[in-house]
Amino acid sequence: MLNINELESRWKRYRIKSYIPHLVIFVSTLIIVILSLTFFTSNKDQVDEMVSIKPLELPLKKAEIEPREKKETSEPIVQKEQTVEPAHEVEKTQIVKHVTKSSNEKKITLTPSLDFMKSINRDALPYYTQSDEQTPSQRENEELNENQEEGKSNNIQENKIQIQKEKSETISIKKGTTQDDIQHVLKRFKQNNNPALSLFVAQKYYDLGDYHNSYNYALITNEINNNIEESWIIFTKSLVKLGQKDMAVKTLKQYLEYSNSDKANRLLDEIVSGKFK
Amino acid sequence: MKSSIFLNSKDVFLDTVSAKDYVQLDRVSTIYQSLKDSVRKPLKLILLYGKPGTGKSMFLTKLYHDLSSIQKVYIYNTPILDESEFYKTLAHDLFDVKYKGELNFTQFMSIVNERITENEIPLVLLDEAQLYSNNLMEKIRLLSDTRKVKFVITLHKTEKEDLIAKEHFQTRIWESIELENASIAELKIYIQKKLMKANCFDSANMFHNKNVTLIHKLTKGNYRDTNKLLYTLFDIYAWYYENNPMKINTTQISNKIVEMSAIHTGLIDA
Repeated sequence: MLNINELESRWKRYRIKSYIPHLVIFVSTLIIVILSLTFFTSNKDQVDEMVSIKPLELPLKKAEIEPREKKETSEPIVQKEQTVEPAHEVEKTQIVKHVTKSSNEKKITLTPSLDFMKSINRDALPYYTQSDEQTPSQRENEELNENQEEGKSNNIQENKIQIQKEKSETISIKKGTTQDDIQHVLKRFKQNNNPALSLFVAQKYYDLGDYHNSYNYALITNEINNNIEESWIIFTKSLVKLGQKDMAVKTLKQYLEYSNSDKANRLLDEIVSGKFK
Repeated sequence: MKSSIFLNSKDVFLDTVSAKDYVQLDRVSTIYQSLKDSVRKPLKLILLYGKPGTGKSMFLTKLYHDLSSIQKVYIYNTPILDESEFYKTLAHDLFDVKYKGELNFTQFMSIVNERITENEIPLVLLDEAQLYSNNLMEKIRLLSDTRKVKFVITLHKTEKEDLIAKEHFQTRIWESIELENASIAELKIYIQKKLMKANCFDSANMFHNKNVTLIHKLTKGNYRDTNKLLYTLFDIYAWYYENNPMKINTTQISNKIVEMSAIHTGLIDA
């Protein structure tokens, strides 16, 4: 005799039991997906960090490895003797090579930066021309010095490429008007305290209309080197823009006492006549 | 639809072995035809084997039913385990010799030699042959070697009772036929033909492919298990029809009730 009610309850229990494996599979799959996603994203962050570090590390590795390889592979007996030399001696020779190469590069790499400054000058006021030409060259000199100190590369062409890349970066910073570009230059300024960089920042802030910051960075530049004409000019112009016309005139006159800057003279005339507001 | 339809359908699946319940399926028909052909050949021993519930007994019964009008056929559905009793039963049935006391193989052979005629070799059908002792099976083999009696035996294909593996049978069996479980398509035809033979057309139409697939999954195509399952299924349907007709759909078999039947028959352990 069939007991349907009991059979129905047994069937319900059976159905629930049969769903358990599906539920377990679903939940475990979900956990695996979540874990793998978490792992993937954390890995991605690590890879990003690695990528940001790599450009700094790679030239060092190349500098360490390449000369040794060259010595090991192409070798008369005389050169083999060189390989016996201690590693620090090899590095010394590398640095010497690097310095001579980079000094040659200065001449080569100045040309594009001048072009860049010319392009800036077209948009800017006429009296910025001279100082603008100085700024990137100084910056590049600074970068070259950094490269020399760090001894990142032995190969002349590699250095050229690197410098050109950096130049292209500076071009993009000039063209860009974002705060990120300024922050990038500021970061470099903090590393080497180069007045060319702080002047650049002052100029940039001035172009952006942030006269407070342009005043500050012109002042910082002046503290590092008070003979930079452009820093005085940006400082004065920022004062005028901040409504401190008298202070601007006073400052410019002080500067003109020991300088015969035409640019400063012209600016003084413009401020006094009210042409420059 | 009346509840009697479900009750009638239920009775269709009673586990009985009867020639009239034989359902003709393509593959089964082919096998059956080859068995009939083998019987006509001068073979000494024909072995019919397969897992329990694959229709061996039904085959044997059907063969008996079909051949009994043409030739001397004797079927033994229940094994006669005592050797003397076995010979005495054969002597009585085949040669109409009633023997009192013990009858041994030699005595039985002399009866066979006396009574047998060349033209009419009797066919003996032995079901569940795996239950016979090895000793008796050896005698059956010797008897068949005389070509005075022809045997068709059925046995389960199990590891312990796999007589085919035994050397003396391997060399002497001339024809062995294996019966297998039904495929899904065969099972559907089996169920529907069985119901239609009993004029249960409505219930036959209630079986859809997904029902048959589930039934096949539960029974693995075994005819005996299918019969048991469907017997219970229609029993449950009859109960619902009487007590709670709102809970059933009379146009299609519910897989829930199939599973309930499987739980009741033990095919599902719940």
